[in-house]
Amino acid sequence: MTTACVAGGAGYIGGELIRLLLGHPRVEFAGASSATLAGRRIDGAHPNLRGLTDASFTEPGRLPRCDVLFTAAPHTRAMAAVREHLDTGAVVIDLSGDFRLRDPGEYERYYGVPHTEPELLDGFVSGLPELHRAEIATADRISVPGCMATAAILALHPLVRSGLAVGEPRVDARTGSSGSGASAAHNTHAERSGALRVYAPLGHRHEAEIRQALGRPVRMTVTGIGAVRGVQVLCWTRLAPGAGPREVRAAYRTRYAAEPFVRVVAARRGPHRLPDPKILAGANFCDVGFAADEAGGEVLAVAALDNLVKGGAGNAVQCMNLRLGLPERSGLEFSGLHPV
Amino acid sequence: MNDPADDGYAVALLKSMLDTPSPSYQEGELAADLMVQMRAMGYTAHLDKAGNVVGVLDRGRGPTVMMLGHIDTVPGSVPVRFEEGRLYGRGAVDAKGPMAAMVCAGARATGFCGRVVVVGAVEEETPGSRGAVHIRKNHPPPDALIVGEPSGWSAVVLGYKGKLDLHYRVERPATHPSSPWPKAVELAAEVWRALLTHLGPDTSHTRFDRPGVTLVSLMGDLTRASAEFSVRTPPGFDGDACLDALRRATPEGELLVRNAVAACRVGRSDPVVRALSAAIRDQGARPTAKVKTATSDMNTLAEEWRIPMATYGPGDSTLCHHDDEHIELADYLAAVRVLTGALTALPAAESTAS
Amino acid sequence: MITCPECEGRVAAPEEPRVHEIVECAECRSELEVVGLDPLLVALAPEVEEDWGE
Repeated sequence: MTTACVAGGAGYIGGELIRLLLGHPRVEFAGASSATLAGRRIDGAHPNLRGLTDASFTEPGRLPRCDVLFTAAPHTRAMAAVREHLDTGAVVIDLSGDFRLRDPGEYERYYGVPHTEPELLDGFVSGLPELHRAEIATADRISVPGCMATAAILALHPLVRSGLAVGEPRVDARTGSSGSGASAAHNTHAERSGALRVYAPLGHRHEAEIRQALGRPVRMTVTGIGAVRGVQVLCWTRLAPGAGPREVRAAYRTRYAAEPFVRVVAARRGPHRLPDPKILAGANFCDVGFAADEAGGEVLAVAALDNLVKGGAGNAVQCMNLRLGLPERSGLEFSGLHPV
Repeated sequence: MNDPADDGYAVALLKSMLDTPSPSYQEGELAADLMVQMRAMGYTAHLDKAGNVVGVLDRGRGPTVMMLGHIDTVPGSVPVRFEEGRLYGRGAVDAKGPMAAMVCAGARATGFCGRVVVVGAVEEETPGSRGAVHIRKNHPPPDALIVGEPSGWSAVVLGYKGKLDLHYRVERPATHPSSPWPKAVELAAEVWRALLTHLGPDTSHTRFDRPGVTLVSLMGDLTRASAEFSVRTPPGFDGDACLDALRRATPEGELLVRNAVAACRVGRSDPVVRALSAAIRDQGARPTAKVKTATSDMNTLAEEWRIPMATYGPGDSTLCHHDDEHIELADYLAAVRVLTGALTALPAAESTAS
Repeated sequence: MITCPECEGRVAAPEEPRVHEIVECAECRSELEVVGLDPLLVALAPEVEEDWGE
């Protein structure tokens, strides 16, 4: 059976990777490492996994050989960490920000440090199946995009590709607290509960990823909200002259008709008219929708996902399935909860 | 005026009903008259213990379809007269027009297979809706129900908001106005304020899905005060939570529920809605579907009866309780034809729905 | 299958369609009214109106 390990398994993304791998029907979870929790039980850090694994975290260098290695080290530390794993023969799927941007200058601008492994950048394929399915299927190094970038790219791509969006889209992103990671210092309940903290009014890192994927500049604002899981992006953009709701809907329908994890949600009636991350917790869906103002010549594209699943671990497992030639939905069939 | 199928007969029936005043609690004379009229039209008719007039037409095997209107009106007199194709009179639209249309349609629908039950209920315009409550308690649920209220002849009403009528009264010992203790009238004002707070900023009497609220009365002085509030409630409104909030906000005094009835709303594919819509279209109009922000006997019956139902009747509901209350005779006669058509079509619609 | 006049999504036809029947488009959730049977025709159903009074 194919085996998979997680390097950097103590964080929230690592925990989700382990959860998904433990439930995967075709891949065996073979171990997880952690610099901070080596020797401690995995279900100590991830109590939802009690009874599912008795394993403990290993030292970072002591993972068994495996077919697929997920690396979930923090941004700027992943660069060096990933290099160690490249000779093992495993397919490397990296979930950090360090291999997402192709231009090292752009990386330095957004992450504040020079890229120490720029020669590796070209070897990574962007891990967004909806845009790079064929390349992922043969890639040995995959870099999974950021959660808000994934949402915004999936929201805007049909409009940009079909020429319906003109000008510079503006992305208003809202994110739950788990996106800040398990060790974020200012992420306490007292600080976060009920907050609407505009923590990146301009120039969030994911802005660069969206620009790279869409091939046009975007402006992005990020607000931290009280939810634990979930990302929602509202993307405003000008509509091409003469375009209206019909063309917009057709663009989304055509673009995502065959996608297993992207659903078009743009209802005219009912309480759930546009994507809402609340019902997506734990599921690998990205719901995308829109509201088109034909007279005003504007369209609002909306997307929602669980930042830890389609925005991270679930998307990584989807990439693994593609790379291994497995059914794309393997291990990702959970539909989400309602009510929740 | 002997042929029930005749439009002249239908107009004469409505005129005779308007000629007999029937404000709430004084419906006896009209009920007796209507019983006689219905018998003349072939109904088996009687007055029940609540004073409702109930007429039955047995037309063989098939479902029981009830048409229920009310025979009481609000007080006040509007001189009964014909003018430019209109018939004026208190109750012309609310709801003697719809009531008469149902009586005529039942008699005309000779193609209907089943039992037609026509009820003229008393006291719909009063808080207790005693007539409809009596029917709900004592009549077995029919297979389908049409409630007679003025929807307009080419529209069908799918639902009504509910209602929560509250009465607050409080007494406080006499004290100097400058004493620190709250005065009776201040407490009554405080309950009103708490009610507004509980219902939130977007109350509305024009939206179906939001509560609407009215301060009906506020009287009082330093030692004694009373107030009445009326909340129009959307589907799903939690009346108990509302009362709890008010009692917590003002533990003094006594808060009583004068009347409470839940909102009701059927779907557009309800068999009765479909039958009425089809019959309206057969008359050459495009049927519209409405929900209403007031209440009717449909609320009372829907609380217990989970059956296909809708509200229908001729007349412009903005003329309800109006000094100028009148009905367009053409609309009234169109409604008779719509009800006749819907009644005839209902057994088929019923059997495919179940 | 019929085509939603609002969003051009595919809507499953009712098994025994009846004129005035309301069907819902799964894609945009519009309420559609059957206005013709042969061929099967649907139109956007008028919105439910909110009205003051009884």
